[in-house]
Amino acid sequence: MVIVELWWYLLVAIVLFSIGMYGAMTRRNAVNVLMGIELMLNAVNLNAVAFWRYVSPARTLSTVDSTGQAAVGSYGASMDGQVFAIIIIALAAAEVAVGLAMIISIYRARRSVRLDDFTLMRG
Amino acid sequence: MIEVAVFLFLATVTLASASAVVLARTVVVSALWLILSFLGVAGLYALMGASFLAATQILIYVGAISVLLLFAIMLTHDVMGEERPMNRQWPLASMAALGLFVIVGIVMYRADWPLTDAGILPVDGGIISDSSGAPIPRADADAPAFAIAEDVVGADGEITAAVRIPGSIASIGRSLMTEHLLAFEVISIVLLVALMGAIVIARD
Repeated sequence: MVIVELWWYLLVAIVLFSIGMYGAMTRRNAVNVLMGIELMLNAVNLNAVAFWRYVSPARTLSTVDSTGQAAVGSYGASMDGQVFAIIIIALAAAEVAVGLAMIISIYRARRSVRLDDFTLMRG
Repeated sequence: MIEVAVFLFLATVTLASASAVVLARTVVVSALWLILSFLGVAGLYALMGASFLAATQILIYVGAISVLLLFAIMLTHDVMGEERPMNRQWPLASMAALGLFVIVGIVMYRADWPLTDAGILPVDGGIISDSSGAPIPRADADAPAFAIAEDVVGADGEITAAVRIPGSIASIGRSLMTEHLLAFEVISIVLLVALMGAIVIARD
């Protein structure tokens, strides 16, 4: 019986990452470059969640319950992969906000969003 | 089997629309394909049982980031028009992307991932444990991951084991507030600073 395995997701993620990288390197419009970067971040997130689903170890967590007794319980699988993905999503949102603000600011100054036109810092 | 079909559908949607993002001639068309690609990734999260992430993906990527991108496109609409959208580096870039794909693909193929027994982990990330907290192995590793009830209910209908299935949202919250508290606080500050920075940069 065919079941969905880890490497299926890894394959999708690496193809998505390559597509995003190609887009980020070739597009001339700065907004399109940001889109390529977003695709790459999505690929990384997909990897993190796939590893959470297929690799993360189940573990027990020692804690203290409400009565102050030490309690050892099974709290399910480690959530590290999903937490990584959440942090990356938050960073991506911050990155897009700052990136688009910069693009708009540069557009005001240079009347262009073409990356080829921004040669101010070329030596 | 239905999981395989859904996976193939979602993977096709994600990758095809990602290709369309990169190859579309105009920026607006790219942005619209990007939304479809984000939705495909959200579907893949849901398929893996990461329901909270699927919802977050739709809220933040589809709801916020895509709208932000469309706004930026509208605000910077300039003379780009129908001229060529690619720069002259595209042969080099395609070689680099293909090279990366091959290298990472080989590493991925040769790596020995320490897989957990795929049958044990239910869809929402909880594990089945008996009263002492030891995980109960599933009888059939190929069984669908969400068929939990039969395993703990005996033939006469009596419940044979305590089942603790932490909802993944509760587990994420616990994880964020215990092990990853520092990262959580730092990311909050990053978001605040990015917000203020974006306002300052974009202001006239």
